[in-house]
Amino acid sequence: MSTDGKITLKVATPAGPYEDTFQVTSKVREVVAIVVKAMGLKEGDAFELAHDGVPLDDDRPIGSFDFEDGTVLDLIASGSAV
Amino acid sequence: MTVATVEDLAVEREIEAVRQNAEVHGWPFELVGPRCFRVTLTAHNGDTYQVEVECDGFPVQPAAFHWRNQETGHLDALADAPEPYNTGDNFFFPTGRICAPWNRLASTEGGPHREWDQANWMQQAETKGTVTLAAMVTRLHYELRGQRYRGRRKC
Repeated sequence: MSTDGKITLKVATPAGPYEDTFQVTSKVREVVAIVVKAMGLKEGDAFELAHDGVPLDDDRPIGSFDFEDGTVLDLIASGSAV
Repeated sequence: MTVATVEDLAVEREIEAVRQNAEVHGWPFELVGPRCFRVTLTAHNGDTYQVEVECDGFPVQPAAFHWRNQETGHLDALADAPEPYNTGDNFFFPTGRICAPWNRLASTEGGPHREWDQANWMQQAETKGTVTLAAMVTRLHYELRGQRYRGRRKC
C-alpha cells in the first residue's frame, strides 16, 4: 500500500478504464461515486466495486485493502438502468 | 465509399472501451470485424475462456456472446463453457449459454429465456444496468474470478 496516505488505482468501468489517486481514508462508496461521475455513468444506477471477483464492502476505507499502486479494480453494474 | 452510421460509431466506441479495459487487465483482445471481437478471460483457477462477441444490430438488439474454442475455432461447444453454479443462480446456464438479457443467445433457440423480448433487453430487470459491451465483459470476468466459479463444463 502507498505510504503517503494516497493510492493510485485503475478501474475497468462500463465506459472504459479510469485511473485516479485516492485518499486511503476514502470509503469504497466514495470511490465509486467519483468514478461514476468522472466516467459520465448514470448516477442513479447501482454499481459495486470489485477486485478479482470479490465485491468490496462499501463502508470500508479503500486503504484497508491490501492494494498496491496500480491495482486494477472492476466497476460492476448491479442495478437497473431504467 | 461507405459512410459510417451513428450506430456504427457508437458500437465502435463501445468496442474500443472493451479493448482499453482489456489492456488494463492484460486480457488478450482481438478485433475480428467492425462489429465482432474476441477477448480471452482467465478464471480464478487458471481456466481460460475465449469469448467471441457479435454486435450486429447492437444496441437495438443484444450482442451475441459465444464461447470459442481457441484450438478449433468452433463456437458454443458445451465443453468450452463454464460449469453452472450450484447456488441456484443460472448465470452459466446448463446449455452453455450465458443467462442474461444482454446476451442475444439467451433468448434464441437453445437459450433459457425464449420469452425475453430482444427489442426490450435494456429494460429487463435482469439486465441490472449492464448495458454496455464493456460492462458485459467485465461482468463475465467478475463471474469467472469469483468463488462461485466451478470449472469448465464436464460433458
